[in-house]
Amino acid sequence: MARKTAPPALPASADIARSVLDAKGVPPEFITLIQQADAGNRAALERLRETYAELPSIADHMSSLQYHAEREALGGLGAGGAETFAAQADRWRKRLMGEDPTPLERLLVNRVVLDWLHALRMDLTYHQKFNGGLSLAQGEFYAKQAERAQRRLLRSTKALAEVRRLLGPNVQINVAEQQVVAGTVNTGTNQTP
Amino acid sequence: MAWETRGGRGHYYTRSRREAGRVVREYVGAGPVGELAAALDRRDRDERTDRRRDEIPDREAVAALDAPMAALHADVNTLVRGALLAAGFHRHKGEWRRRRG
Repeated sequence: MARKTAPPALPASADIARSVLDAKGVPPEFITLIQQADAGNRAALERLRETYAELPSIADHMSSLQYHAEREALGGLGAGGAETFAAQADRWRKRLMGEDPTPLERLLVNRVVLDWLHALRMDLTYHQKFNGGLSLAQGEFYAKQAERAQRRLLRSTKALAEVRRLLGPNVQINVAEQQVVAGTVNTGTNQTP
Repeated sequence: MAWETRGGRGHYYTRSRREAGRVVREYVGAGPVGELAAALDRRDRDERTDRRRDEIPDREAVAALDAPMAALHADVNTLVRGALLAAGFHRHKGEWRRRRG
C-alpha cells in the first residue's frame, strides 16, 4: 500500500542531519523517514540514503554524547576505580573497533563500552548496598537495575555482531561470559581486553 | 505511647504529642478501649518502620543515570535501523535480509 502513496513532503537530508546534530538526538522526522522507507516508500529510502552520507558527522556527535555518558558512569566508581575502569574501557574499545571501523561500527562499539561501564556500575552499586543490608524491596530495586543494565549490554553486543555480519567481516565478541557470534548467543569464557 | 497506672488503680493507655512546644499527654482509656488503641498505634508504627526501611534513598539518582542511557540506546538503534535500510536490507520476521531487486 505504502508503495502507491505519493512521496510525502520530507525535510532535506542536510536538514535532517543538522537536526540530529543540534537536537542531540534523533529527531522525530528522521524516525518517520525510516518508518516510511521500511514500509517500502522509495522516495523516503532515497532520502534516507542521502542522509546517511552525513553519518560520519552524526556518528561523531553521538560519540561525544556517549563520551559524556561514560564520564557520568565512571563518576560513581571512586577515583581509583574510575581510572582502572576507564583504562579497561579504552582497551575494550580499541579491541572491538579493529583496524578501520565504519562510523556505524564506532557508534556501536562506543555503545557496547558505555553499556559495559553502566552495567558494571549498577552491579557494584547492588553489591555495595547488599553488603550494607537491604530490605527485600530495596534488594529487588537494585537487582532489577543491574539486570536491566546487563540486558542492555547484551543487546548492544548482539547489535554490533549483527551489523558486522550484515555489512562487514565476521567477528567474535566475548563480553562478561556471553559469547556473541554474528547475532547468536552462546556460553563462553570471559575475556578481558 | 505508654500504659500508666494512676493512683494505684488500673492501667490507662496514653499518647503524648507536642503542642506549642510542650508535651501534652492524652489519656486514651483503660481495658479493651486502651488495648484497641495500643494495637492500632502499634500497627501504624510498624507500617511507618516498614516504609522507611523500603525507601530507596538514591532512586532518583539511579533513574537519572538510567534515562540518558536508554535514550542513547534508542537513538543508536534508530541510526542502525536506518543504516541497514539504506544499505538495502529489510526486516523479515525480526531478521534483517537483503532486499531483492
